[in-house]
Formats: sequence, structure tokens, C-alpha cells
Amino acid sequence: MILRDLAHTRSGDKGDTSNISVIAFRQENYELLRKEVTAERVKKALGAMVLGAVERYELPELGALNFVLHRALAGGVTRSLALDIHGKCLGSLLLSMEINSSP
Amino acid sequence: MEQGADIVLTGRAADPSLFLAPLVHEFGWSWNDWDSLGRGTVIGHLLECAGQITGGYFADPGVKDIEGLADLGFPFADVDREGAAVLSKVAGTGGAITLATCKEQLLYELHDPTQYITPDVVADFSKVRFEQLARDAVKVSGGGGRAKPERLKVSVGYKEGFVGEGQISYAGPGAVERGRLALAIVKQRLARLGREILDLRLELIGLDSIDGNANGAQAPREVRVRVAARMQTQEGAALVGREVEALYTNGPAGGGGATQSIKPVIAVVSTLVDRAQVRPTLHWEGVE
Repeated sequence: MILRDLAHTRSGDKGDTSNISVIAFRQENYELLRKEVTAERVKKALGAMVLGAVERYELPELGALNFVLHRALAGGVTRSLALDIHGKCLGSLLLSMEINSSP
Repeated sequence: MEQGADIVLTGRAADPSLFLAPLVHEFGWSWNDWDSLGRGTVIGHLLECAGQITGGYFADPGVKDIEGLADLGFPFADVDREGAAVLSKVAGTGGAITLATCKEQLLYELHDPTQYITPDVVADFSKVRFEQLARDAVKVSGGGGRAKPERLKVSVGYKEGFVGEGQISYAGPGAVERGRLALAIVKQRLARLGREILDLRLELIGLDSIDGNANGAQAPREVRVRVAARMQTQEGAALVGREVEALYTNGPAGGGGATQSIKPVIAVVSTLVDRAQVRPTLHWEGVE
């Protein structure tokens, strides 16, 4: 199972910082997401694209997690040489993360 | 607005403030009623990207299907005095307002959900609740706020050279290898120009231009070479695209569709200044 089977994501940008929200399609899968989709795993999944730390905020009532990725946008929208200067695609890339659904 | 303005134009302002101001005007909220200002900011944040809450930046066929994107309707909110609202869109337009579109937009460009900092209020998004009342009608409630920050964010633009870019495509068997050879050639040529390269990016669109970790496990049928470099001068930046275009005749087999561009870079750095240093002024135009 991959993250896309359980959740949807949206990416946003502020300067050189990206955020990716991970939102459960079904509330009952929130705990599984909370257990599996840790800040460490997100940092590892995005690898060399995220130079700084990754923080996670929990929003249990929305069944959502919010990840803040520091130094993830090659300097930010105004000076990045990247094609995707806003990092709009980052959340979609994260959807391929493997999720271990066995208890 | 109290003095009768029909239209208010502002310089750079926080996006949700454009929605908060008319709410404060209409309901007579105090500028230190932090919970109301926080709830108004939640509503403003949900509306500020227009189509992003009605199905734009959302559709993913087979997983998150949205109908009528070519006729995407924009949202509006019916807000009550307590700062709860029903989000909806004009009947007959495309798109959808669902719990999922609302949750995505609430968390868009958000860091700590308990501290969404604007010049008006530090809004708390962490306790916001959504309820689907009907098709394309979602109630938003909850949310709050704390005292506005003492300092304001200032974005300073500065000139930071020029970016020159060139692209060219390769297809068929060996496309990735020919693309990589093309990148290596251009890299060598640029190093020989005797000009300082402030920043350089060499990549294959279709393989690793977005996913910086792609290892090419599945070779695509086509790739597009992309070289982008920041240089001190416009003349220097122009050389980047020319080196890529030269790949037509001097590079790997079958390079097609070369393009090039140059653009000046106005970079932005943000800092904070004491609020007291900023004095808002109002100018009236067209007053009879």
C-alpha cells in the first residue's frame, strides 16, 4: 500500500520553506498515518531535495498531518533555478511512500 | 469603507486581510477581538486562492475526481456575526466544495496550525471544523486568535543577476544516455567561458527535474535536457541557451526542439521591522 491509497496531499510555499499537508480520506486511518508518516520518513522520502529539518504538526480533528520542510525550495520562488520553483509537485511525490498497514 | 469608499486598493497586504477588513467593517468587530479576527482570517485564508477551494489544484483522476474544471466556479462565504461561515459557489459552475477541498486549502501555506501570523492577528487554525451541509456547501466554524505581532514582515527585492536557460529534447532508445551526454557537454563548455557561474542546474525533464532523487529506474521514451544558470550579466546568461542550441549540430544524435530564454532575477529576502516604523496612509481618488 502506498500513501496515495490512504491520503491526499497539498503543497504550499513560503520563501525557502515548503509545507505538505497529508489528509486522510477516512478518519479511521488517521492513527495509521500518524504512526507511519513521521517527520523522519518524510525527510528520507524527499531526500536531497530537503536540505533542512522537517517538522510535523498533528490535526487529529481534521484527520491531517502538516509537514514543514525547511530549506526545501532551492532558495525560494524568486531565486530558485528549479522548474517547479514553488515545490508544488512535492506533495505528489510523497504519495508514493510505502505504508505498512499490518498492526 | 466607513467613509464611503467603493473600492479599496492596497499595496502588499496579507492575503486573508482582504477578506477580514470588510468583515470587521460589516460586523463592527473590535481590532482587538482576537478570536473574531482569527475566525475571519480563517475564512479569508480559505477564500484567498479562489479556485483552490472549489476543486482547483486538487483533481487527481481516479482518486480525487472533479467535474467541470474548465468552468470552475469561484467561492464565496456567507459569514455570521460570530465568525462562522458557509462556503459555497455560484450554482451551475464547475468544480466542487467538499470537506477534502476545504481541508487542503485550510492547510495550504500553513506552518504551525496554532500560529498563522498576519499583521492583524495570530490566528489559530488548529480547532477549525468543517461540516458538509449540502452539495457544494460546507460550514466552517471554530478557530480563534491571539494578539497581533509587534513586528511586521518586510520583503526586500534585490537584483541578483540574470538566469539563462536552454532546453532540447531526445527520444527513443538511449534517450536518457544522450540527454546525459548533452548535459556533460554543456557543463564543460560553460566552465570554459571564463565567466563566473553563480548557480547552475543541469537536469532531464521527464526523469529528474522535479524529483531530485530519481534514479532512472524506468527509462522514459523521451527526455528534455534543461540547463539553467544564473550569471552576473545578461550577455553571460545569453550564452547558456546558445550552448544548448549548439547541441543541434555539435551534440548527441537526434536533439530536437531547442529553446532558450533569459530573464532578470529580482530576488526577495524577508525581514521584520517594528510596527511603529510603518505608518499607513490613505489617499482618496475620484471624490466629488
